[in-house]
Order: sequence, then structure tokens, then C-alpha cells
Amino acid sequence: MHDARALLGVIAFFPQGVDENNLDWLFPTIPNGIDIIDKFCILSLTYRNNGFITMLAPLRDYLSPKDPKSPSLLCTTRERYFTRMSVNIDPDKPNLGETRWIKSEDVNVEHLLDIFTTIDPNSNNVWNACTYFMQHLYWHKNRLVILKPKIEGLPDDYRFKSDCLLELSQLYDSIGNQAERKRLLTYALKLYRGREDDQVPVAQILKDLSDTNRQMDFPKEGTQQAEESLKRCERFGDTMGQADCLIKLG
Amino acid sequence: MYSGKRLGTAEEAASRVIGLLPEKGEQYRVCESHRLLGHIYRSTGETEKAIHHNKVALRIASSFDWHDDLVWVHYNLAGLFLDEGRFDDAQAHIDHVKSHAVNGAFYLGRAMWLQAMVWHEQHRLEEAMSEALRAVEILEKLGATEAVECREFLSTTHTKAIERPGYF
Repeated sequence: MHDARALLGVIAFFPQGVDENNLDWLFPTIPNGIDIIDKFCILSLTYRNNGFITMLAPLRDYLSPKDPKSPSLLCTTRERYFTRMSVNIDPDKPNLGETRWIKSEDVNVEHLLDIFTTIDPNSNNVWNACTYFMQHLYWHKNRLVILKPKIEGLPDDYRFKSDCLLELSQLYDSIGNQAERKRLLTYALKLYRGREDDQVPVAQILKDLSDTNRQMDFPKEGTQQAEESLKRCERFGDTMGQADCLIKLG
Repeated sequence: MYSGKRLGTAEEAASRVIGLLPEKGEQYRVCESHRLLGHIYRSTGETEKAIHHNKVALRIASSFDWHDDLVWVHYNLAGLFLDEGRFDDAQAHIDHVKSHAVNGAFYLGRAMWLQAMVWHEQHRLEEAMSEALRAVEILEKLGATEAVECREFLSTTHTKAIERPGYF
């Protein structure tokens, strides 16, 4: 009975409901999840829609957890999503395909992050998940996120602000909005320059800025940034970074 | 974009990247470098070389199923065939871009613009205007940098259309 109520709360929480194929993975503590879901469907509490178990809006409003931080099953689900996202996507690694799940569950993850960045705004865990989420979107689904105002509202000295700005700039690149990409990169550069331990991102941002300036037809600015990035890559002995800069200088 | 001494530097750099990289594990950079060489040779009018490098990039991107790269390589190849007046080949690559555009309005907008250019070259000006207008709407909504150029293209096509005998 307790499992059933908790499960209803989680289904209500997510805008898309839960993916039927993910029940075992999302709810490892509920071994008979599918039986419970079948009963929910018989009772018309839930219904199946494109592989997701979801429910009608009035029921969602009623059953959705009033304090998402407290129900343990929702917190378990949150951690399952966060862990699943915590991979640095490398196109050369064979596991790129395994990160494509975000294409069908992006709305759920975004909602999860939107809620938890509101109720738990100082959580490194949540903001770290935001950076991974945007990285996943960049590779698999070209769209913007609703998290932008919250990211920009973070204190400048908060580490994850610069990381999130960087990922956000990539999303703007993926939709061709170079003006906003440039603004975000410039902001991120200012933040990273103030930190002594993150000079490698500075070289990367300068390369990206060089790229965006070239696309916006500001070649002089772009060249200066590529030259500065090149010097930094030489200092770190980053051969591939140097090659990228030489290309930007072309 | 590339000119004079800078062009030589870019070409050399991209070639060096391909030479420097190990055969395995850095295929993404290799693919990017081939794409870049494709751009460079297109800007110097060396079309065959440009097509060759884009096709190498296409092969690599296909084997890894890199969605974005596939879109851009098809886009570049469509542009190259358009330059050459090979409209059927250009159309085939535009269709590929459109088929990949389900996940991104930006790709769709760019594909429509390219489609409009093909129709413009084929003197199908009304169709070109209609497609370019839809492309402008998409690109402007996204705030895409290319929207300005696309609107200019639309304006030029419109002028050309109304100057054509029998338009009114």
C-alpha cells in the first residue's frame, strides 16, 4: 500500500509520467512495479501513453508530492536520474548511444531540475546534474532550457555558475544564436578568469569565442582570442588544443 | 572566410591535425578537420577536393552516428553540388538534412533556406520565396545569426521575381 501511494506520487510528479521500460531501473526497491501499474490502469488512476505511464492533470495536481524533498521514492528516482546523467559525453567513446535516452525523457529531467534548483538552490549535486543535462541535450536534442534565469541568478563566485553558463552557450550554438552564445561565453570567461585553478576552461572558452566571433563576422576579435588560446594551449602542452587554435587562426 | 596567407595556415593546420591524430580514439577531431578542409577548398573553388573531404567526414560521422555532424556534412555537400549546378545531387543531400531535422528547428530552417537557393537557381522563384520566407520565420524565432542573410536572400529573390516579365 505504501509502495503504491509512493509510486503514484512519482508518476504524478513527472510531466511525462514514467517510462514503462524503466520501472525496474527507476524503482529498484519496488520489485512488482508493473503489477501495481496494471492495477492503477484498471482503476483509471493512470493510463499508458507512448510507452509512458501517466495520469490526467487533475489527478496529477492532487497526487503530486507537496514537498518533493521529503518523499523518499522521489528522492531515489532523482538520484537514479542524476547518476545516469553523470557521464562526460565523448563522441569517440562507444557509449555515446547509451546517453540518447535523454531524447525521450528530457522533459522529465528538466522538470526535476527546475523543481530541485528552486527548493534546493545551494545543492552542488543538483547544479552538477544541470551541467550534465545540458551536455546531453547538446549532443542529442538541440533546444534551449528553462533553467537559464536561475543559472544567471546564481552568485558569480559559485563554481557551477560558470560551468552551467558554458554548457548553456553550447545550446545557443546548437540553435544558431551566436549573439547569445557570445554573451554567455563572455560572462563565463569573466568568471573563469577570476579563478586560478581553471585555466584550461579559459583556453576552451577563448576558442569558442573565436569561433562565434568568426560566425558573427568579427574576424579581428576572433583572431585575437584564438591567438590567446593558442598561447595557453602551448603553455599546458595541449597539442590538440593548439591544432584547434591554428585552425581558428586560419 | 578564408583568404590569402590565412587560408594556407588553415589548410596546413587542418592537414596537420589529421596527421597528428592517432588512428583510433580521436575520430571526432579527424572528422571535424575533414569538414574544415571541405570548407577551405570550397572557398578556393577546389570543388572536387572539397567534396572528397566532406565524403570522408560523412563516412566517419555515419559510422559513429554523429547526428549533428551528419547534418552539417550533408548540408555542405548540398551547397557544393548547388555551386556546381548539380541540382539533383544537391536535392538528395537537402533531403538528408531535412530527414535529420526532426530534432532541431535550426537544421530545418537552414535546410529550407538551401532548398530555396536550389529553386532560385532553377528559376522557380515563387517556390523559392515561399520556402525562404518559412526559413526566415524559423531562423528569426531562434535568434539565429543567419536570419539576416536569409532575409536578404528573400528580398533579392522577390526583386528578381517582380522584375520578371508577366509577374503582374
